[in-house]
Amino acid sequence: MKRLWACAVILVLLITVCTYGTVKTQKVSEQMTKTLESARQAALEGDLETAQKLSQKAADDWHGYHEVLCTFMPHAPLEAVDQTLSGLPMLCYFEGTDQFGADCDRGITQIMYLNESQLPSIENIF
Amino acid sequence: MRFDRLKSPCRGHVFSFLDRFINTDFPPFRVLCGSSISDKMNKPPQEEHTISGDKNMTISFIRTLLLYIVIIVAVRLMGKRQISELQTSELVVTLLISDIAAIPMQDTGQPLVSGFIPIAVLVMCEILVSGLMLKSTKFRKLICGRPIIVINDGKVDQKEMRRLRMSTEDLSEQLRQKNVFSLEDVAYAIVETNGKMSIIKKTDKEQPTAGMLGVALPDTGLETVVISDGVISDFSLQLCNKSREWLEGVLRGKNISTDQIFIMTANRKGDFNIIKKDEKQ
Repeated sequence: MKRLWACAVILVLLITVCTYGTVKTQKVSEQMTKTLESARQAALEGDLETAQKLSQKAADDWHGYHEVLCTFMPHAPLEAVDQTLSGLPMLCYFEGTDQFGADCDRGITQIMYLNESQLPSIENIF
Repeated sequence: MRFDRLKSPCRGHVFSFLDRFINTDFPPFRVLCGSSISDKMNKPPQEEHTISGDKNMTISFIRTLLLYIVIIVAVRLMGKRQISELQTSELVVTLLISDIAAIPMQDTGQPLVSGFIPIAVLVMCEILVSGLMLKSTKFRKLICGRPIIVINDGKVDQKEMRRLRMSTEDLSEQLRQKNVFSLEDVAYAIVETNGKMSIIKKTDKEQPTAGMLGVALPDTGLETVVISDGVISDFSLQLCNKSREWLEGVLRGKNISTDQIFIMTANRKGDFNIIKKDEKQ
């Protein structure tokens, strides 16, 4: 009987951890995508100062999120996002807007991939 | 395109500008790298590699300890059956756990949770399956199968042996392991669900018991180790219905202290055996 209780506790813990992981990843990806989209849009409109601020914000936010995400996600895709985001403020600073736009897109795709890889979809399960 | 009015330096061009800032503490470098790039650039590459290697080894060390604890807890939760005779489902779980635990142990790029979650799921499934097997015979049959009689009333059932893909060599080997050296001696041989073979010999080949011979053997009860390497076990004393006072009395009678004893066994009848520790060289 004690073992069955332990089993129930494990089940609750598993559901909590898995739901937290999925929800957190979705929240982070939505927020990061929004920031990067805004930064890219600002660069397209020539507002490089805002673009730089936003890309800096994205890098700072990601730094915080990384510490949480790396506890339940493989580190390699997270590091790929790190590398992409770390270059954005400098690209904006030196007015490399074409590269900046491309890197923003790359960052968005990488973050979307993180989100998609966490979803318990048919594609991911099989 | 509004990009037209902007300069379009390629990435290489952008990074050529970095040379001017490489020895400065430009804020983005500080924020993103934790230290300035100039600090990092001044470090010899060999040193950087060694620090990372050391960290990886420490991470592996800590992870292995944590996974070891988790596996011990998992096996304890699954119960004693897991460490003795494995049923099909238990064998699968044991193999999977050992395999899963190895991944985050070796690959520090994988989160530790990626090892914990599958282990927890397997433990949960194993407890549920064993619980269900206790409740339902049908479910037990479905998971574990049923015992198969390969020698029935002295006759070898070739059909069942074929079903089990058991060769005559396998049968002879299993019989020999049970101290049976002739097929003639066997009345029944049953392959249990855990793969082990149970044997019932023909009545004329069975060894007579004390009861059959009408011999009354003294019941000495359970013999337990009451002192091991100078340490008294209260649990063992309880098992053989003896008290500490009885033990102290025995030791006083023998003029020996607990520290001098390597092993002492006792039974319910009060018989005991003492083996002293070897003299230190």
